[in-house]
Amino acid sequence: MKNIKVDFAGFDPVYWVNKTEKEFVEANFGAVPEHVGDKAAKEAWLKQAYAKVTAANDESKATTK
Amino acid sequence: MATDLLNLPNCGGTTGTFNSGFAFCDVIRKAPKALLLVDAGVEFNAAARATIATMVAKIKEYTRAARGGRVYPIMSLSNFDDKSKEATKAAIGNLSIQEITMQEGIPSFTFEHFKGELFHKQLSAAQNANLKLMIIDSAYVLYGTVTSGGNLTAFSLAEFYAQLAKFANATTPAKYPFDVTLNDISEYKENLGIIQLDSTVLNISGNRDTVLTLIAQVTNVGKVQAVGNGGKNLGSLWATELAVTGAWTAKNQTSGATITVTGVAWDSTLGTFNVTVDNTAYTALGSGTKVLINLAAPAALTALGVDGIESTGGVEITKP
Repeated sequence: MKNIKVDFAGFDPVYWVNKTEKEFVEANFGAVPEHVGDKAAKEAWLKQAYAKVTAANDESKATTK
Repeated sequence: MATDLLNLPNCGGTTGTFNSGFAFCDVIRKAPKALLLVDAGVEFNAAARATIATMVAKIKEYTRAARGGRVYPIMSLSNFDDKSKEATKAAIGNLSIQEITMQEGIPSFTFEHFKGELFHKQLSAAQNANLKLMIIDSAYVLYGTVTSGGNLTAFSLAEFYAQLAKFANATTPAKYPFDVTLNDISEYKENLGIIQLDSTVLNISGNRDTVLTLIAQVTNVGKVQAVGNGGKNLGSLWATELAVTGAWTAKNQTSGATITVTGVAWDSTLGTFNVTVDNTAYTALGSGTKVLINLAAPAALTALGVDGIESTGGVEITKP
């Protein structure tokens, strides 16, 4: 995956915890900042964002264990 | 001996309350330094008044409270004039030289600030807001009135009036005056309440208006520009803090039902916060239904590190 920095973006980890990457990308496509670029870049940005959301959820699970 | 108040005038006897001994420690008024405009109903109870720190914290908390229970501080006053009217007297009759007070004096003050046009324009909005007033003097003494329940509250106002601003000339700087006239002499005399605070009370600030504008809508995403009073895009100050779902709210304009904000991203190119609302809920909306996207309440924003900001109203996105 192309490494695009997802600065200054916050997605609710609790809301997205049981959603797939595909669902995440579809629901948030319009939210990608203009400077990110074309469709492929936007998808890469969203996948990066989804990875952050997933990581936040994993971290939360580890903390609450 | 049992007492009976029947036919007993107050001549310094049983019903008298006056004494002439000075208080062991008293307060001498200094010039006002700051004002607290207060929504009706805001009171400070004994717990709030326990220490200077708790009192200042409570005032600060109220400045970020929901409207109806809020304190609006006006700091940095630049001028003060006491315009109180003297009590009026009248002779008791034309066969006597005795004069007695017919009407109490009316406490009335003119203040000036030097903060500018936009702030003065805001003060005009206070004219019809039915606010009350507390005064802080330069020795940090807070003046208010004590309620029948023993709480400290603000003086009720007959009028708050933002006067016309005046241009500067060769010898005098611009002036931004406003008047306050108190409504109830009992609040100001018999029921006066004071609290000695310290300089920390001057750290309290009001909320800045922030205007939201919808720059674009992409399905369930509203691209919202947030510009604070004075023209500052909030993204240039709080791109990180406001790019969180807790900083924004969304609701169905028709039903009033809350719609979950599922993501926020700062778009530096557009200068917008791209606010995504729950895609499932959005998809289920009827055609033409509007969703109101707004900033969260000031207290919620303060908790996120964005202090002193309030939206003047949300923006709508429409389900096609």
